[in-house]
Amino acid sequence: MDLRESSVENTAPPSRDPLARRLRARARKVVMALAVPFVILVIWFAVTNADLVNSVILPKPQRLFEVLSEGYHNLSATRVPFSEALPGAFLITVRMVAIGLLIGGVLGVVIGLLFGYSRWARDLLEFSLDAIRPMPIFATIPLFLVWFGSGIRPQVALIAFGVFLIITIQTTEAVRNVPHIYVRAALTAGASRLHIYRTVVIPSILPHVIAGLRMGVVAAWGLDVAAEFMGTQQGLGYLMIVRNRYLDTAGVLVIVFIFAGFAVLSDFILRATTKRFTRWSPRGANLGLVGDMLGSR
Amino acid sequence: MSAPKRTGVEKVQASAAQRPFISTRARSRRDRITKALVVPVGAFIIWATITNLSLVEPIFLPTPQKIVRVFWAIREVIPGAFWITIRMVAAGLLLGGIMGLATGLSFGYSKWARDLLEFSLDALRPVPLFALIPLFVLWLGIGMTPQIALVTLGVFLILTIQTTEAVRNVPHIYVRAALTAGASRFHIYRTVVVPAIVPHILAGLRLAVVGAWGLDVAAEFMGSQAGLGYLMLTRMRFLDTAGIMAIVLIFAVLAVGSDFLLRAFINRTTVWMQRSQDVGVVADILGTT
Repeated sequence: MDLRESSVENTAPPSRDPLARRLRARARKVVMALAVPFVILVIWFAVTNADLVNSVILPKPQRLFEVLSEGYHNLSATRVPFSEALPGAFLITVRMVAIGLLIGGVLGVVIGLLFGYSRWARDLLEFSLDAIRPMPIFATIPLFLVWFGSGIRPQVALIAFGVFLIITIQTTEAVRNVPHIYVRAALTAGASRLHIYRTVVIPSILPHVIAGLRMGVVAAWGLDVAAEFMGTQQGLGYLMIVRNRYLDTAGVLVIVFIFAGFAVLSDFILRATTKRFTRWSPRGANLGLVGDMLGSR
Repeated sequence: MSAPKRTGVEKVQASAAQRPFISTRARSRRDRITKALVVPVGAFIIWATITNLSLVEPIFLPTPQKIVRVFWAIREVIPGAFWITIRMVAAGLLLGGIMGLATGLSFGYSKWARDLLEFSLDALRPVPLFALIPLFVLWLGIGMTPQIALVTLGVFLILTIQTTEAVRNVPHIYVRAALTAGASRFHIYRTVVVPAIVPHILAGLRLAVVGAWGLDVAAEFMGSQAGLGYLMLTRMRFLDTAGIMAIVLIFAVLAVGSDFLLRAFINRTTVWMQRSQDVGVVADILGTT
């Protein structure tokens, strides 16, 4: 009662219940965000169950679950239940992506920092790296296969190479984008170059490097899929190619969804981490009218 | 100097005082070009030496002259494959570019469009598009359509995100100034936002072009009967490493060349927003030069 009286005293009729209003706005956002995927799912369901399209082109959504539960996977003359072949293939794929990310990520951060630190390293290597940067790495898949043989090595090498290029560039750019005023302030305070690097540059590039890592992870999944299509005898991508040969579109779709799910999940985890690390960064602090006009969140 | 210890500023100032600015720049330019060429030239010399001394199997690494010979051998198939690849990439870039730009701009303009579509697009973004290639081939048949569709989708996603981000990064003070001057929302969009995002979008276009080449190669590997990627695949079946490398080289030249042209164009059109105005001590520490 006290509370209600005080709210009446405050007399702000439109914002009487800001919490409810915010909740309503949020609910509206969620509903709108889910409308598109939901409509697509309904159309998919309706079109396939009314037999309007060939099931090879687009199987029924419920077929996907059937494939998962009772489908078979023909692996070198032995029929393995799909549900048993999946976990193994999945683990191999995750291992390839993880090892590639680790190698490429560590190398990339080290080289990127070195570029920021040493003009000598920059002059020596940056031109070469810049020159190969726009090159489609996928075009080198056949070479990686010839060089690294079969097994998981060519995939890991390709992922490591791709991630390395991305992270190196992102780290170098991050160092370049450190606000000059920070460095000036540190110089004025008499800090040495190494000291500035350690206490000003590295902390301030962290958000940018993590953002670069997000790009690296997304690219790693893509590189992995493409590499697996070309030459592996195991892993999810290989499983997908085999399903494709049998024109088992439902099986292909199941694996596409698995890839999509894990790519999105890994990106989500990294994004959550980024948010935590970059809470202090200025963007997003300025909401309101201007923020709305520019579409900020 | 008598003082044994000097701070960072003093050191840099002392070294700057020793050499006049202009001549430093002229000398360091030549010096930089020399250094930049050390690695590629060195790599080429090592390659030529070890392959010609037969220290590695030619199937792993053929000699440079073998690659030249391969170019000569396949000279008649290259132009046809080349044009098909270029056509696919260009068509995908055009379609995806227009769609991405339009969607990104509508996201900036309309909250409604944003609420409706952004979640779905955001969710789709990290999905490896390459995983969709078998489906695209299944749906769109063989020929050029699946490749073009894949390039279009990839470019569309990249440009949508880049445009949306570009709009978000427009300095708020510009918009505030226009609001204060009494401009309408549409007016602000047309005269403040759109011009301000041009540099960012051009940078996004560079990313899109790079992405388009990659998507095209991967798509050609999977379901194409023509084009450079397909040519590479046939070379791979014959374990013709020199042939693969020759086509990798063509792809590299195409991608690097298109990126170079685009970059030159961008530098020309966005002279007014050079960030490298701040040269000197700080720029050297941060590696801007």
